[in-house]
Amino acid sequence: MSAAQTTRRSREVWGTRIGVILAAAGNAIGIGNLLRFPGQAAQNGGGAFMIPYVLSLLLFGLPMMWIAWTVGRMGGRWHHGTTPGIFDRLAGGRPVGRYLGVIGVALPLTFVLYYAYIEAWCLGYAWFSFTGVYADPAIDLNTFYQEFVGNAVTSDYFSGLGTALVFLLITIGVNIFVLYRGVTRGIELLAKIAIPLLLLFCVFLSFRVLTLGERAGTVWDGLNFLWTPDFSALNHPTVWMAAAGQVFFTLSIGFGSLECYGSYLESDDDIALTGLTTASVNEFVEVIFGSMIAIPAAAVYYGADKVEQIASQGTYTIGMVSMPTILRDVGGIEIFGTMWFLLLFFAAFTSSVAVAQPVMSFLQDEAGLSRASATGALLMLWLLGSFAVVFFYKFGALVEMDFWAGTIGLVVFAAIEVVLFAWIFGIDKGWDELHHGAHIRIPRLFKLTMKWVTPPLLIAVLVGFYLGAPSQLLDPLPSIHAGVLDRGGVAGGFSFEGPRNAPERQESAALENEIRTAVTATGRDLRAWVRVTVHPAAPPSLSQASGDPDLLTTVGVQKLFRWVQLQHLTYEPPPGRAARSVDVLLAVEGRYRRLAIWITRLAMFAFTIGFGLMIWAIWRGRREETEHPPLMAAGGA
Amino acid sequence: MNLTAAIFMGLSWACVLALTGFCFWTVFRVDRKGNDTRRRSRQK
Repeated sequence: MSAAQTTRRSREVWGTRIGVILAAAGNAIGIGNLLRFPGQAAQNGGGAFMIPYVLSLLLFGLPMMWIAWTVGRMGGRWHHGTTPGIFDRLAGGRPVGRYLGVIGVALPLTFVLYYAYIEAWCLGYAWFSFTGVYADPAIDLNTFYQEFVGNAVTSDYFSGLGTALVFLLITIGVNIFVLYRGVTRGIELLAKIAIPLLLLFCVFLSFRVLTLGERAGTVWDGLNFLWTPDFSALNHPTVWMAAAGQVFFTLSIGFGSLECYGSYLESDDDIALTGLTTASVNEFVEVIFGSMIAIPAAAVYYGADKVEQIASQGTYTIGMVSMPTILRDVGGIEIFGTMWFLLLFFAAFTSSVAVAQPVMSFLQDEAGLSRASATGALLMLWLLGSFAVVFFYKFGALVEMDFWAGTIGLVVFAAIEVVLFAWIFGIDKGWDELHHGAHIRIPRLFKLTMKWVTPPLLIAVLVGFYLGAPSQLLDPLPSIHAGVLDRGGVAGGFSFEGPRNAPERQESAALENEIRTAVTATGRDLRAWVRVTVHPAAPPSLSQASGDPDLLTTVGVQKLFRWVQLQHLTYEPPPGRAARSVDVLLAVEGRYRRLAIWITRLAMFAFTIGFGLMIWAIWRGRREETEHPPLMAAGGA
Repeated sequence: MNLTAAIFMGLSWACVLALTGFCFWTVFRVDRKGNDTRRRSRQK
């Protein structure tokens, strides 16, 4: 053993088994359980979605989860909590192992930088709900949300990013506080409080949804919609990819966090049963509560025929726009709205501390920093990175990071890990290690699966994710946004229905291409304003246009008008008010994204290179210490 | 709620409840017998 290893400080261990289970369950349970799962199921075959979902769980979800625990516990024995050190040992000391392991630190750091912002939205909305900030039915929650997060062309409810930044600071602060307190007094204690609270909120909210009664639909319509199987959907590869993706996200595989949690176990602690139990708690929350809250509530309020449209608008629209709209209109937003957003916040909080812990562990175990110094270094990185995410949000930085780190990166990392574990380290040794101290016997079929099925399947999933990515993610084109200005002066709700049929969609896309070309040619954002008269029962009419000459002369006023018409702006007067025409000013913005996206990509690349250089320096230092031990250490040894 | 949806929902819920029940039952059974290795090492 080298001098560096002999002098390495002793590592923390978990206090209790239930603490480990709850902490790891907290890692796995996130916003995705309550919003992403029902949205994915609703759009991908309903009940039939469970077939590829369960198969994905068996063929790579559970095997990867057990591998991560095993690798982590071995790492703890070697005084490594992160994958550079662990993969180095698994690869028999070959440098390639530790450099591949760098992904297991760079990836979670990238993830927490943007996830903290999403977590801050939940905290912010919990506060807005509690204080009744959006209790007035005249407040349009879609615009409210877009302005809060910094993606709007208007500023009716938030004049800037100040409010979002305050909640982001609080979010990062509480995360750092928990991480500073350590594994037992911080993460484990948080899990013991947050997970029971989370389950309690789930029960209350499910009960509230069940007692919503009948409006545009019933709870049963929502459950019918969610669970009626459409077996023809199974013919589409996208449905299988969606299920595979969901299993990946839900079990938090490929983040390096399970390995890190596993490293705080003692070498004879059970991991087979503990790992399976954490997965079962995660599935309990996902399948039962995930299907009982958001989609049934949307079916009651909007009607079952609108649920698919709502689900297709994405995870955050369901959580941040549809759910608060429903809870506000049925009454008791101060209680149930707060509960809903605290539920999401706790789900995100327990996940973010788990994903940030590998960075803490790396700085402590490998860089040799004290806990206070490691916390300080992480705080600096977190503040700088997350603030950049906030300012670049409207240019798509968060989506970009989520694609590379939270989608592609996870699968790459998991594929490397399974190959190292099953093929380089050896499945026989790995299987024995998994069963060391085990309280259950895992069927041997999983051993064969780990070696022969999981690796090729992960590579297939990786290719599928890459090929299935929207072309805009790979080639950052300008994005186009529209919003109603002076909303505060006009009571009632506005919404953009979008093109209504295929010819309209084609025409709209062609016009958007012309706007994008103008934005790309100038290399900056281009804006225009259009005066629109909207009547609840008649098509909108357009009268004036002004704005950046580069947009108006290149695209032309008539084409801009046509694009606005194709978005089908609708107006709904407040309840009890007669239908009438209103004049509004519509803002259209074409955002130049290329520069921001490439800066984001470079930053992510820089994290990886930075950690790689640290690994190079650390291992070089250790080799030199081994070859030329200091006199004190040599004498002591 | 239609029958097919009820069957799919019921089956999914039953599987999840059975798995969670089995796991926690085993955890508590094992730990009650004093096999929780960490607790044992702490008692030493």
